[in-house]
Amino acid sequence: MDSIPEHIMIKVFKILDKNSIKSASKVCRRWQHIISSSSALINRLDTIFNMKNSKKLTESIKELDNIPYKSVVFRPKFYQDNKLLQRSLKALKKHKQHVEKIEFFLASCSTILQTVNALSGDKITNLTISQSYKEYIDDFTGLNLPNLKSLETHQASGMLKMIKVHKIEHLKIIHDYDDYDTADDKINTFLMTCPELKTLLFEHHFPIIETAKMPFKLTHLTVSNIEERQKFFCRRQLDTLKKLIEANFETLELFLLGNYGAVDGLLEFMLPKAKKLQYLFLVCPTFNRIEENIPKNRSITDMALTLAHHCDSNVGKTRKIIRACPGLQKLSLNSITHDVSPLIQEAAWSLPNLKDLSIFSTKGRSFNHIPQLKALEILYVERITSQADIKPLVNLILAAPKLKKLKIELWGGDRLAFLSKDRLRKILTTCTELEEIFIGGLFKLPNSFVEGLLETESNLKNLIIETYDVEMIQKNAEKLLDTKIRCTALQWYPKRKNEDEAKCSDDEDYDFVDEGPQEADYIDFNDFLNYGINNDGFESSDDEEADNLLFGGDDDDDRNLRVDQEERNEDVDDRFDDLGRRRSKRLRLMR
Amino acid sequence: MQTIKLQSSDNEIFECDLAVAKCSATIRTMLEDLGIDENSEDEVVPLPNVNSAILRKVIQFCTYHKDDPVPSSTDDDENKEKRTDDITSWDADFLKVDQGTLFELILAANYLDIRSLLDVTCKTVANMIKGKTPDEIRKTFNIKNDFTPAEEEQVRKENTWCEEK
Repeated sequence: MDSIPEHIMIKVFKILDKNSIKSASKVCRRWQHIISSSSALINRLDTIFNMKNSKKLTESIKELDNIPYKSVVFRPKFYQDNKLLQRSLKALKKHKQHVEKIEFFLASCSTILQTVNALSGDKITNLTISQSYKEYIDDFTGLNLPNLKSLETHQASGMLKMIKVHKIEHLKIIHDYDDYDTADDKINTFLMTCPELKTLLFEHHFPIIETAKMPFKLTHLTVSNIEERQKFFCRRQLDTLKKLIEANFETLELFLLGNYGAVDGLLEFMLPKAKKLQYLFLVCPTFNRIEENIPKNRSITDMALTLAHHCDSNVGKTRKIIRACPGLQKLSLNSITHDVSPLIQEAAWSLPNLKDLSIFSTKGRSFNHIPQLKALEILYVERITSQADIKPLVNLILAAPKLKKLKIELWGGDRLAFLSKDRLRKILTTCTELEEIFIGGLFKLPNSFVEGLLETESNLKNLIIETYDVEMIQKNAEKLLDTKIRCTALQWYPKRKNEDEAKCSDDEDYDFVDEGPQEADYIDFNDFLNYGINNDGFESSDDEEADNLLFGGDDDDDRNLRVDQEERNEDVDDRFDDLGRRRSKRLRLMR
Repeated sequence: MQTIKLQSSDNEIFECDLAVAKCSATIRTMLEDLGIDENSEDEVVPLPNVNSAILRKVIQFCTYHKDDPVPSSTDDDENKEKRTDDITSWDADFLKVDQGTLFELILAANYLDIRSLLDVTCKTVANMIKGKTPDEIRKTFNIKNDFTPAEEEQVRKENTWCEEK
């Protein structure tokens, strides 16, 4: 029985009557999990409430009255207490003029309808629906949201047929597991009503879209986490993808891990056609084949390639891709091969405009000089247990004499202790323009490193150390205080309560790392993707300050989080900055 | 009549009508994608996930059903309860097999993407669950109860609460 995949079990359970589903959910953990993760099955049951949450809701309502809120997170859980709903709606109506964003979590269709009606439909610009249940009600005429700009559905694609939009620009569909059969039709029907659509994200399921009928011209597409259970990324899906990216694209993110052969022929097709493509992000198991001469694309300036496994046979194919994109200014190559020297060579030869390179590994006997490089990021450094082990890392840095910024992820240990003063001096005297060094994942900042910095004349202005041991950094860094080098310690792990004294400020000029989610809880693939799209239109609740209201459910954590952030903003000290959790996009991917 | 050769995981070759083989959407796609020439005599379609015993059953099923009308993919409302008493007597007889074979047929139907076979096998499994208590279901499928006593108590409470409503 364990061999039967989840989606088939869901199919079986769907045939059952309500009582049998209930019985089945009590059989074993796996079955319970399968049933509770399927929104369609939960719809059928519709009786698992949580009274505790309803109480919290009443408390939150009281707090509603005072401030004008722009954003509402509505989390009624499986709550169906109509009295309570009416009270909260009454409270909400006071904010009718302000509310622009609503997020529903586990709300029933009628709750959604009543809430949106209580508010002013044409004010709402952002709507998020997560796991709505009871997908239809009889006299439902639809939610008319004429000014909606951004819509997200998480396991709630059934809601799509009920939402009427005219101006939607950003659409994000995170799919549930159990209705592949009918989802494509729903999505197609909905897409036809979105003439202004610009950015589109699919997660878990990539539908076959009848592209010929679609009124929009997309500029951004993200396709991510396509499930292995879909057997393979079939030809019709690949055709859909090809048609979608045929014109006008500016950014494209494909996250197709677990789908061998998923991108066969795609790059060859896409690169010559995508005249406006600027950013290409591609994660796939491997490139099965890449044609000998891919026609060149000069518009792409930023590209990130990640493959599933290091493999020598990837090298040649990756070189062909690099060669096809001579306009690249920023390039990130992850998990492609152990020996990265041929890739550096290709970049040095083919990419005259390359400024920013991220690379995963430092292996390679000798590296080509790559004088065009201004920023180098090393995402992973192999085990270093002796001075000889650090040599490739040093050589790689020395290959780029015009570096301004250097970022190295050391992933723990005392690795920096093996960087002798001589080698450090050589780096600083070769890369004379070096202004900023970031070292991540460091346990100890050795004296030799600090001394080496002090003894050498350099242009270094900024030293950023990421560690969990702030005190130790503080101690070592005191030596640097009299110099012009500004020393910043980033915390590795989220701040504990009693560490609140740690001072902080925001470093505006610091553009090597992106502002990511600030708490450790968020670090996983999904949030990596959520974050990715946030930059392109979907607003992240993390950016919100006081005008964000959250009510229902377990909101305590979030409140703390917000308070925490405010405190941090108030504390400013120009010496030690706790920038909280900042991770570059690419970094999070590697984890 | 055109035929095609299918090779099971244990390397047995089955020759069957092309129309029968095309009940499987996976085989249809493979023929299309791989460009296997339907007329060529020597071409063998490998099916590494299906053994010969199961492949024989699958071919038997498809042979019987090859002229059935193709069900449209959008006809069923996902929230509606489905009938389980509409299994034809031929199908019922066909599925009088031990549980292991039944599950393997499900997996094969899933892999080969034969909707009618997947539907009828799922219905059969659903019938084995229907109307039973959790304990009876565990016995039927030889499933271990892996809930802790506390969790069971929790589940029991939640459900009493639901039923009171």
